[in-house]
Amino acid sequence: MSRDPFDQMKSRNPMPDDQAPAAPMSVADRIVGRGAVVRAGWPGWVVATAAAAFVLAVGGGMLWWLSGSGTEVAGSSSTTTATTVPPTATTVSGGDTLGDVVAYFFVEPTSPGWTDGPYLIPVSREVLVPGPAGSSSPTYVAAMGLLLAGPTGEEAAQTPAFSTAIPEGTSLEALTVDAGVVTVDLSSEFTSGGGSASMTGRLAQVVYTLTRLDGIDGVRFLIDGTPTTVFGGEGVIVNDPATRADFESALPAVMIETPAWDGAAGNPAVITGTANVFEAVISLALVDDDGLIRWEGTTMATCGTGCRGDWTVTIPYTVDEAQWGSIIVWEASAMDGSQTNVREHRIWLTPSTTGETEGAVYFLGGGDRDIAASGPYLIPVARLIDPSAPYVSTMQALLDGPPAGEGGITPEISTAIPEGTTLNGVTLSGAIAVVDLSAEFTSGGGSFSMMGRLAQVIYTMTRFPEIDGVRFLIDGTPTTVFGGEGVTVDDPATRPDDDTLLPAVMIESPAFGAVVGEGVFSAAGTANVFEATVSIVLRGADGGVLFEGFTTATCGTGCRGAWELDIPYEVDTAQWGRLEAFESSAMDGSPVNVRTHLVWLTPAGGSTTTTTSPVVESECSGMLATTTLEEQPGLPEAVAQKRNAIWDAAVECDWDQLERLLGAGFSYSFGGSGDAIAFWQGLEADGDDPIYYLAELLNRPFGTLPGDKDQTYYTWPSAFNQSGWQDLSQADIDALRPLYGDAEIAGFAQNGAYIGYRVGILDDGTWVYFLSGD
Amino acid sequence: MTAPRTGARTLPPEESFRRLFSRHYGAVFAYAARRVGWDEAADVTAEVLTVAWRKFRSVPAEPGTLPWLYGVARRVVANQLRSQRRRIRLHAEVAAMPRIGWSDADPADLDDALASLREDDREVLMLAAWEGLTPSEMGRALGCSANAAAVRLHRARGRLSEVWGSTGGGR
Repeated sequence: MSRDPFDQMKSRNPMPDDQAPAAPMSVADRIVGRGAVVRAGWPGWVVATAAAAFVLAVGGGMLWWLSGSGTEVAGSSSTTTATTVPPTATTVSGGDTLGDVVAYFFVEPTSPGWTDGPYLIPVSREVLVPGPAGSSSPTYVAAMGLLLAGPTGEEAAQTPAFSTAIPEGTSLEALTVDAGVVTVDLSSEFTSGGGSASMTGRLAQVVYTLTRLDGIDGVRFLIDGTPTTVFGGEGVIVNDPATRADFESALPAVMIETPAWDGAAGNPAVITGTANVFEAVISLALVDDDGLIRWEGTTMATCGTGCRGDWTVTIPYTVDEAQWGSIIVWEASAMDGSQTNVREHRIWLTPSTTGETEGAVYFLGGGDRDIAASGPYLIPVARLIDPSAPYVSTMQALLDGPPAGEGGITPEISTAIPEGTTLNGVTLSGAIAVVDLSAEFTSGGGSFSMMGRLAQVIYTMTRFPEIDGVRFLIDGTPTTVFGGEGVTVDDPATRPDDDTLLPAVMIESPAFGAVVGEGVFSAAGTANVFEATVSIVLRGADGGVLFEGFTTATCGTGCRGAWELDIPYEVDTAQWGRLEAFESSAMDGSPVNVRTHLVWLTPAGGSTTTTTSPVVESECSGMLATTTLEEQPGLPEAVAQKRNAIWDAAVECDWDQLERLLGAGFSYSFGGSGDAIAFWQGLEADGDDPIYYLAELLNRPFGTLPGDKDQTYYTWPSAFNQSGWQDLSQADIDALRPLYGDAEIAGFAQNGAYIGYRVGILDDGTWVYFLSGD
Repeated sequence: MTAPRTGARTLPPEESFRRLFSRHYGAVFAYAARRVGWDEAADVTAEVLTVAWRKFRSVPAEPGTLPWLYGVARRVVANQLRSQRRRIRLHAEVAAMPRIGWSDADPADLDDALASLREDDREVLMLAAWEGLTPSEMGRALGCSANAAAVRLHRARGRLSEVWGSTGGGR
């Protein structure tokens, strides 16, 4: 068995390719056919189930009128629309306005997690509202017009399909508004056909559509001018006036009221609805056009487990451009946490226009502090803050906690503030922030957790330069003693003198996840380290070092001091970088107490260099090479000439000349096929420097390797040998610098051989390779 | 060019997509199954291919298609694991990370060694060992150059050996 774990990995593929299932082409057809209607957040099988459920509903004898189906037409075929509604007593003449109007249709349940449907769903559509803006009555008429017209053919065919229980041909005869009650006069088609479920459904549609409008609580029905409270042969009776509460049976367990289907979400998105779920807890996710989750969280309805409560949640999100997204709301099963009673609305997402600014809140991050004690320690994490309400939005961001997975790989970021803690308010009294939190803040956790959560609030608020301290209120009561173990804080509480919760090296700014300045930024923090020396390294997304330096804190070896350092950097494309601050071990210089913050780096000059830009001839990394080629004794004449020619072409970036110099059967790095020059140009465009390496390597000591038929390969650098790394001299290794750093050299040593770039020329002068890798 | 071209260029996008789908479904499914397990793999695969259809015009031609799909799959899987972790935390269940979806027959030490690596190291190792990608294909999947991918693989192999050795692997 191989000693290399990588080889073992290869032989233990958990799923060999030949075991993968055959492609289910019906899924491909569904993907192609469904366009943008079904969101990626829906599992693949949803569509099939939905179709089946739809057939069942129809086949089971439930009588629904499906717009566009044309099979169950009752009464006249005249379509009612917003613009053809007869004038009513409240119509005002004037210019028409374009507005979003919402009508309630029915939607089929689309997953087994849904309770039996169909249910009401609010659907938003932009329609022409007759009359001047600000006059509300035409809006009622427009909403009724939308409702009576029913779902469009597309909506009736999509998944999930919309349907209406209102018979086709129903028309609006008149509409009046009086003291919060709308009286609608409908034609007699409204009462025709359908069982009691259909009758209740159509009444619910009218009541929900009209009571969605501001100030409307109830609806009175007239049929052909006659006040009516009993409908259909089976005698469905409605209250006078009818209200929403009479029709709750038509609602799903979790109902999204705003935004309506196809409605604009706004930014931040304000999502409201009602729910009747276990313990009133509902979960939400906002997904973007790619189906990727942009926000996830939970909220509480005002009532639950047997009663219907309201809920509202404000979701901050960022998108680059306006796009369709989805809000998905569900009840997490008490049994296994799976999604049940799922509701999803397609919504229109827009980039933020409020100009949020970046602030920071303090969470707890893991990490080594020293050998004796390890974290968690406070870590400032970047958050978008509403500049019009900085304290409240900052505290809210703190209470919201870190989304799962923030921090990526390292460090894990967590919060000690209990879930469910709510903010009653933040006020500023002089330089003291008075923070009023709900009682959940003091629940659970030992004294360390209590100290942690208090410190999170104190550090977060005192990060504002104008705030010196924090006064805590719990549900309005000033509090200085917390938890069963009696953690006490001063009143007001300030950042403590002792640094129990701080890592040995603390980065205060930039916060974790912050966007830093183009080309250069200032890093600052505190440290309690040996001789006050703090080392700083900035790495790009690929792990390459962009900056390396050190600075001295104002105090060290037993006391905590402040440090600051300007960090210049160059990147070609915007990317996540890693800012590492650490102490170099007094023993062996190795990094200890490493603190890492992700930071978003952007190229200087604002514009991002695209990787597809063509490589300009005569410009490449070869120009960075040392200016002179040293003579190397011991090379055959043909080899020395070829070496000189390659060097000249490399430092001149003369691609044509390089191409002419390639020998027959030339090999270059793996991955490409055919065109070595194009491959190198591609690497150059990606920000790699192959030609620089080519030129520089020719200036390194060379070695020889035996080839076929008594040939000899002359190879640069000498570190590329046959017998392995252990046989290299220190001179061979040192010659690799600065092309390769400590980390790479350690990697070669571990690997047992040099596998970096090398150049090979046969003794007859044929250039045979320039490549890297093993 | 005088000869009329036949093939992909003349196909309607739906048909091109179906071909892409049938050609690569298995590989994407296997990729997903290796990371999130068989149960979730079908959902992930459907999601990846839905993204591919939506962005069909920007899907690179063969042979770049599959690495591109792996790149999308990587994000979809990360997204899935994120929401999985979120759910787990929400229900205060065991805060265990989802295990890498390989078979029970594997010795735990290699499993542990791999799990202790950083996610990007793990991904580059898996792409090379299980998906069998070349560095240039890996570069496409990871959004970096072929050379950077090769260097990352090299480093990741080093770190895997290191961790494995220190946990007594390879006995």
